[in-house]
Amino acid sequence: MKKRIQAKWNEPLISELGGNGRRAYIPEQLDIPSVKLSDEWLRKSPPHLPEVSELELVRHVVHLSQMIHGVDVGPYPLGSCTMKYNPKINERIARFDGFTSIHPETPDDAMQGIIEVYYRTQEALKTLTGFSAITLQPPAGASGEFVGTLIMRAYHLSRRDHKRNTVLIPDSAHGTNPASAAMAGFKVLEIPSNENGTVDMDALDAVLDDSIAGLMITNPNTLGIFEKEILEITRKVHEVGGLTYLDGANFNGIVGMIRPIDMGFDIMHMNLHKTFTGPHGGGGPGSGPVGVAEHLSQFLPVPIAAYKDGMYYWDYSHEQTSIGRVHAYNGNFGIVLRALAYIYRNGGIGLRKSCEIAVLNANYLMHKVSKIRGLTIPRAHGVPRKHEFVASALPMLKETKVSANDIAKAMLDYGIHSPTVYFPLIVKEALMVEPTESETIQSLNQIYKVLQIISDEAYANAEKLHQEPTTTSIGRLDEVSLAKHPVLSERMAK
Amino acid sequence: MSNPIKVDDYIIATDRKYLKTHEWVKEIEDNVFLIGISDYAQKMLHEITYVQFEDVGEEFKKDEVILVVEALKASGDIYAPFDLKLLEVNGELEDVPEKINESPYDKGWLAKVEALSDDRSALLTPVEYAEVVKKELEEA
Repeated sequence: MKKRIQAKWNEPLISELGGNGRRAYIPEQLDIPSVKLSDEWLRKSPPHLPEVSELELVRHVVHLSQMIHGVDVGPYPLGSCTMKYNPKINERIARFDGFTSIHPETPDDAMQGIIEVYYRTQEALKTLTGFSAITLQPPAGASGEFVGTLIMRAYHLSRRDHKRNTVLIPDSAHGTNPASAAMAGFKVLEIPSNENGTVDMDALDAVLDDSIAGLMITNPNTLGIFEKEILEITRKVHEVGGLTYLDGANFNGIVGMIRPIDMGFDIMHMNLHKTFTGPHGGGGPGSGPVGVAEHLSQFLPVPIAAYKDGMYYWDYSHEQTSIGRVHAYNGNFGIVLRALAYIYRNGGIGLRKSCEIAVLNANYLMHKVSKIRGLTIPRAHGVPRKHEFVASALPMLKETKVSANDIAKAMLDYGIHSPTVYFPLIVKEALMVEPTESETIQSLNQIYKVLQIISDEAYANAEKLHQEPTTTSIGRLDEVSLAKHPVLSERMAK
Repeated sequence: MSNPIKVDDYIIATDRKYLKTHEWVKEIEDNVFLIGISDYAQKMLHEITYVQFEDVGEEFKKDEVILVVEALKASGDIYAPFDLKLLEVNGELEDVPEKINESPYDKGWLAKVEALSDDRSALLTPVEYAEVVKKELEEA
């Protein structure tokens, strides 16, 4: 298989392009009367803004786009990030004038369509999760976790139950879980996993008492394994008076197949930018809605979109018990809108089918990868995974000194984004692979073949693999000095 | 360091005790111990970039985190093997944390502590610790 050659432009910064007076866009004549501002509000010199022609601008952004990798360019099996394809119809809808031109302070009766989008998304997510109420405010997954743990706190405080200071988190959890729990003021207690990669029930039993505020768990977990004893786990936590929180980062492995409320969960966050095709990868914007069971709905952030007598409106009725507002203007509307477009385009049957294919793809690729020399699939041998799986490159590292990091870098030369590496921490030299339902069998075979080529090379000429990638716009970076002495700049690394 | 044990490429010094979480503990004076991480631990973490110390003089209960070792891909908590008081930290690691990679059992020591209890139940012999490493390697 041939390597891909990525474009490399000696691209200047946009502020270094153009010339005085050049314009890419001339705004229409303003019909708003001009006013004279007092001197203290007027700037003394004009701002230093780029002045470029439309063609200069287009070339600039095309050059930049040719030097990066995205799901529109090639496979992007970055585990737990669910880098599925973002359908273009989402973008078309998000650009509708009625959505883009409206001011967020518009009165409710003049932005019925906007509130309706929020309301319908809440209703759709209620159907998919089984929860009674949803907030769409949190702008990211970890923000949703923070909201969830604040709700845990508000719930126990409302019952004057002050002894609950601990949140239980399995060792396979996303790193944001302990961080969110700590931010909400809780002590974190880690629950080890057993050799099957699922929660060790004896270890759970040993720590359950009335100091437990709740449990945060990801199911399917970060190994892609479904926690089969989930009903038992949530029952036990409830028995000692704790709440149960589902991290929905891996919702793509179960969406449309099972409702989180039926697994015994009280609170859950979803990632609309993962499961429901919001574009992400450049750091956002995201959307991390939180759903709660009936007894917790009074604690959700205000306002919630509501509908009554033919009118949509913002409902503040639980303001007194709410944990408060967590984001201005109800979160990232553009991502909520894209998620609703995706949900409606697929319908319930389509979402279920996507989930089935995501799971099939992950298991097909896992089976192929398990045959590659130097790679193993640790824990729970023979147990099918959900939407992702974790391989270990430990045998390859021991036998050839080629690490998971080297494999990840080498894959880039073939036009495939790296899997998540060194996570979850319970697997050594981890490569966490999530192909998503977007990839065809041809592209799954391509990922497999590339890993096979890298393995062959590791056992024949390992040294070469420490130098890769070589055909990307930026080669192997010195990660140690990057971590210790970072130089922040808009300019490309040489 | 006489006759270290080797598990694959990983060296286990035999003149000290270990925790199953990969710290080593060595008594250097009566009730005063040095703490560091094993060769296996530093190799699993890869290049170590930063060590986050707690304040000298602070006291910790057994199993509490006394410091954090940060590497490129992960960070590792270092746990108190018994109730202890932090006497000294290896200040050199602030500028050259990679010393832990280069010399995990000697120049890369992390902390000097005073034991505040007699409970040594968490400590493993080098032979017992070798079994822990073997088991972890087999799991992959």
